[in-house]
Amino acid sequence: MSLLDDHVVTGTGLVDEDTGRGRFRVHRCAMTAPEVLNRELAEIFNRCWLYVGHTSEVTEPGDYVRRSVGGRPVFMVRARKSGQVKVFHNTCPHRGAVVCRADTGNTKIFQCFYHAWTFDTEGRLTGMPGRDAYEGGADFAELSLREVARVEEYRGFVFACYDPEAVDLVTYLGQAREYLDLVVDAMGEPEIVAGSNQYSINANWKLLVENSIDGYHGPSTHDTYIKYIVSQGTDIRSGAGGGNAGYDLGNGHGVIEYGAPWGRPIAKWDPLFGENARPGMEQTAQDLARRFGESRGHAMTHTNRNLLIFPNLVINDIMAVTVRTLMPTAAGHVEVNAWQLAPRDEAEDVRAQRLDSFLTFLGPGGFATPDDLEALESCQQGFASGGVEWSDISRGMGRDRAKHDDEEQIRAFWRQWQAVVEGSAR
Amino acid sequence: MTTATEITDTTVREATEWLFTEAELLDAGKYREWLDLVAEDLSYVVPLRVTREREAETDIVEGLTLMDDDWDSMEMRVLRLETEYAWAEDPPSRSRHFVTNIRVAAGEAEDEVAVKSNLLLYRTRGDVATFDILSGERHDVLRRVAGGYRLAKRVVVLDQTTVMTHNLALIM
Ligand code: FES
Ligand SMILES: [Fe+2]
Repeated sequence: MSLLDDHVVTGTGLVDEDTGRGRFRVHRCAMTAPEVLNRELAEIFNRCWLYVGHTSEVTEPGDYVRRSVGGRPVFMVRARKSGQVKVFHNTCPHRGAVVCRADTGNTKIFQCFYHAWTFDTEGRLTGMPGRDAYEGGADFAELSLREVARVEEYRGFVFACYDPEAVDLVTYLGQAREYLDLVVDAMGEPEIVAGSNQYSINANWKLLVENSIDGYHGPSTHDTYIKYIVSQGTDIRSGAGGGNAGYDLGNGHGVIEYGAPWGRPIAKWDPLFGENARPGMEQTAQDLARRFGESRGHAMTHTNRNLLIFPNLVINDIMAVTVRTLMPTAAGHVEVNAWQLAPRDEAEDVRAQRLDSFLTFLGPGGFATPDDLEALESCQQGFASGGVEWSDISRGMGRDRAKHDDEEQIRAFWRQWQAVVEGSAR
Repeated sequence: MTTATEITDTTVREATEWLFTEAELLDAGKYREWLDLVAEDLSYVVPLRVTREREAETDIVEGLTLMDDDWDSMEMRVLRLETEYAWAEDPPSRSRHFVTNIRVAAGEAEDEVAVKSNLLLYRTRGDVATFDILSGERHDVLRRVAGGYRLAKRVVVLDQTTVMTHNLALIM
């Protein structure tokens, strides 16, 4: 067994940081070895806080959505009596069948179709055919739907964690909260637009993590997108000098910020929104500056943000606000889900343009995302060639303050990834 | 209110031939020529579907879609495919449009016909041994103009909730 085989099994030594030499590298077997994925499932997806959904998706009592979180089927429901948002394991406490079988809906009860046990929206077992057969003393409370060990919400974002011992969500989010606040405060009352774009990529999930917060690839990979928006009248120089930066936010979270080279639907007007929308958007920009101060207001309205919440939640606050989760199903395969977040009271034409901008850039048939996917699949194919063992992630290491097209925020992810996977983060 | 076109055998044959010609152009990668068959007020939408209980009225989502194009963005799509920077389609994929179950009905306007068809789209790329298949129903509106028809509207209802091909950067 080579040294490397050892590393793959224990998950150690796959990230190599040498500040003296200004070198940061990641061993490529982190992207290709099934053993590494097994460690990730156990150490990351079973222990970290994972995004489930948004409270705006379950506003009415009995509203529910079905999700896959960390590769496990669960569902989130607004309980009728308590009004709480609950997240249940999607398995019948009787003998296992999946209880919630639709993606979304509203219900009074959940009934398992196998033997027809019924549960109310609080999860309590309320009925079963032939109850008398259980007179031997079955404990019905024990046979209720099982809630996920930990469920907490931060400003509408509902997270779950399968580890009962985990730190609380606010501590976990740490400095990333500030950036979530910017997104939420800019919108006032945000809501998830119905529906999500689901697709998969033949590449390791961490390549998509990197790509989501990578400001370096824009000009080369997205040439045709930039040309498109320019042809539609967007002035891409409008983003210059916008305090471009990349940050390690601790706990594996990272963010890049840069002046928006295009319109932003909250309050950076662009010809794409149409003249009608202009006064309203300019007014909103002023209002936000008044309420939150000039610099925070400007950050909300004119600055783009790509935020990674470790391990697998990405919030792209760019020409629309995309909430994206990623989950590996194999070392070389990742499933992606993308939702749109928008202000509840948004003007109709701005909302339409927001959704259009999202699809044009980030949709599976858009002018940018297909090229990202191509790049990631291309990396994964390249790894198979061997010869080169490490990927280099050193860009901007010598700088006091990293820029958005440096790789500091990507290193932030990898540092935490290494600590969690080898078990030293506990 | 205009009266709708009467659907004659000729209309059915013309609409069918139009769809077959369109498929041939798309499979041959002749996107420019395809654009000539498209009306300037084109609406091209691929809605999202979700899994709902059987009693639910529709499984089509009102909100987000997978694609929502007009003539401008379609033209850009074609321009993009012609540049050398559309990495996702360079090298291009090979596609075959299988168009069946064509149903022609009167359109809303006098000069329009509503055409439904089933689509099976087979796609391979590079020397990868696997292939993607997309299946769906297309709801088209064809408008009669001098010398033929133009595609004014297309809604592609895919038979899946997850996109099962490496991107949707192709015309269905
Ligand atoms: S498995 Fe659900 S009622 Fe038996
Ligand atoms: Fe990208």
